[in-house]
Amino acid sequence: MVGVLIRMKWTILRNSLTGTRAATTITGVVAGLAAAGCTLWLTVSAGPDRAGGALLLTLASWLLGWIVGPMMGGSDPGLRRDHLRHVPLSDRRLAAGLLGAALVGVGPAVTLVAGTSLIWYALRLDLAAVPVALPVLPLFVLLLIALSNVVVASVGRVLNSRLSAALMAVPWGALVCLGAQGWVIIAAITGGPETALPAFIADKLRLAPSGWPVVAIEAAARGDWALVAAAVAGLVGCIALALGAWASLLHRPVNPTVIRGARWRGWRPATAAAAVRGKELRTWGRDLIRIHFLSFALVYVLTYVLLPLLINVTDYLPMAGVFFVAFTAANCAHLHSSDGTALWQTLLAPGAERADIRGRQRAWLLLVAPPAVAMTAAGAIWHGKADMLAWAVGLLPLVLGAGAGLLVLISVFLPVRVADPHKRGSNPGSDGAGFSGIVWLALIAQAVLAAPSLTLLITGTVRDDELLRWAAAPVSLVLGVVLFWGLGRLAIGRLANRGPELLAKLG
Amino acid sequence: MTTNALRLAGLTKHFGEKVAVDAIDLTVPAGSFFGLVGPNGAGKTTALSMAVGLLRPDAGTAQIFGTDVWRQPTRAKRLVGVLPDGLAMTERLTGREMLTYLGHLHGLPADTVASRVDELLTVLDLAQAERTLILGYSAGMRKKIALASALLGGPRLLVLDEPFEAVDPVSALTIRSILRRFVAGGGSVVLSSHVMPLVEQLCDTVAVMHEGRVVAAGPIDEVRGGRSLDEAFIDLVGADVAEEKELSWLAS
Repeated sequence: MVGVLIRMKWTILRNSLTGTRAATTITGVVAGLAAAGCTLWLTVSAGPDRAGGALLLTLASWLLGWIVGPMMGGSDPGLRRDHLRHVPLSDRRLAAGLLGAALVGVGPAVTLVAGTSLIWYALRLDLAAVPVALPVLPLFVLLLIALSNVVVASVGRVLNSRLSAALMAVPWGALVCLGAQGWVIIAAITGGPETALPAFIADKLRLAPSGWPVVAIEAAARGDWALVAAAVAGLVGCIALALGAWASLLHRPVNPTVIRGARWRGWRPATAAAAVRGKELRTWGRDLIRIHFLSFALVYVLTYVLLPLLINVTDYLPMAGVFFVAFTAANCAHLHSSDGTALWQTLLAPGAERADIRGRQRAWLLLVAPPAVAMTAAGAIWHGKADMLAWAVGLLPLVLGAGAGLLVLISVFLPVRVADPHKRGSNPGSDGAGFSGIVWLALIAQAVLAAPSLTLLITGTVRDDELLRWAAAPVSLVLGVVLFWGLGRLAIGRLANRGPELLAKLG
Repeated sequence: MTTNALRLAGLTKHFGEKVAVDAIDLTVPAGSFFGLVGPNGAGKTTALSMAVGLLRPDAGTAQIFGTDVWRQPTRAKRLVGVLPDGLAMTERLTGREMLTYLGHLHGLPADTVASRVDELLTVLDLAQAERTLILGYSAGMRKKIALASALLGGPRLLVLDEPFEAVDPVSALTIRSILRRFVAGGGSVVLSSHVMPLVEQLCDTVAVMHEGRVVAAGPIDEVRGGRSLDEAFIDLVGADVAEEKELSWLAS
């Protein structure tokens, strides 16, 4: 059975290298190899006193990546329990078979490459440690895969509600933000990025399962064979536990998320655009992908502005509202894609394109403008100084208008095919995985569109010219209105002229 | 006066190398109950999507009551109600919310929307699922709510792609009687199906599609030629249904 599933996975993998999926697969391979290369480089290039610390840190990152990855949408589209529901198999054989299939893939391969840094490390320490490193390496890869599958299985079963869609965005948002603001942590802990990993952190990392391979190799180099045995036994035990948990999770059926609508209290929108606005606001509260992306933007921005408090920097706080709007627009620029083939309903309503676009824009503004204004005000008060106020006021109207414009423009010009809502799984992170390219594009576009205001703000700050800095505010307001209207106009034209083509790309 | 509810002329669609619909001509007289039949992959859905303005044809024209669907889409769309097969709907709304939304999107007055939605939900037996989102509807309920949205705008022509698939017998009876009354009142219906007895029962005119072409069309008795529609269909599409074929491992 394991053999059959492995062969099936091979076939799926080969098919994923053809057609439109090839780009995604190849990107995955390149990114994975880059990460593996970094791991090897860090271990090989670090000085003898720091190689262990570097390895502990990178292995912990691989563990984190394998656990968080599936929630971020990195889950591999291979074999699923659901595909084999009607095959008479015991849970244990099924788990073993699926594990075997899970071993075939890009992720395990690049992890194995990265893991060879363990052998490098052993070679540096003592030749006697190499025989330990050799079996420890596959155990480490096996552990990551097993843990990852437990996460995937539990995400689908234990957590499936609006709250979980929001909560799943928390580690993602915080982690991605740490990538951008990580210098703060390093500065806070060590006083500089050049220092070796502090001993107290290295000790903690040795306790985590990702640190056990390092512990085993170091112990072997010292000749502490009891510790080697304990570390290897720990790894094996952990794998067994994870597999057991996985098998029992497979046993439980996946309950589809049930979200109830509100009680009917009458709804008489005055115009077609108002009807779209009402539909959109309801959808924002009920669509797991939308909730997930909104929460991601919120968590990211809060982490971004609050993290510098560790080193007593409050300058980011008044900008919270601006960042929130910019991020939310980028994370929401997939409205038509996430609605899927439901577009036919708009296309068949005579002349409804304008209402569709304007309604979506207004609903989004209603959704993000109030919290953005509140965040700006609260941030400004917390910061306590007026120096950042011109920046906040000089950018907020612009990002609101540009965001509402880009949102619909990107949505109709760059459709991304995702499963239709009624055919989706319970993992909004994975379902919305295709949208990450759009996020980057929207962020860059917003920076470009904000250039006039940014130029005034930067020049005003460099020259210490109060008037110039505040001149950004009216510019921002006018640009915001123009971009809201103009980009929306372009989207309406596109939808009216190429609506059927958009539908074909979504179906 | 135009007497054709739907007229397709030379309608063609390619998907890459494959010709999905090959220059079909089809005329649906006003007031007729028209059945479009054909095996899976014959091009029924593609043809109907092009006929109502959801899929742009590579060549050919589609007219609804004389209005060109692709040149005057707004006018044509006012005349037709559509039930497509397998497409999503506004899934995060309840049935009542979606119909209300669509009614306003079509520009109907608020009172008309409210009363039509009430009536549709009651007649189609969907009123109990008041707080269930479309997403949570069963396959049969999805067909019924899609039919309701097709009827909502008060169309003169209904284009229904597999309207009876997964619908329970009781609901099917309701839908049949709604459609019969619609035609009796002067409306026209085009429906696609591969359930022949159903088409025989309901339709007065049929067209048979096979491999992207219309291989027969006309009044149902003419197409049947004294046989059952099933037999006529199998003759027309040249299916190989030798009864001798067996699965060797299945016990006889």
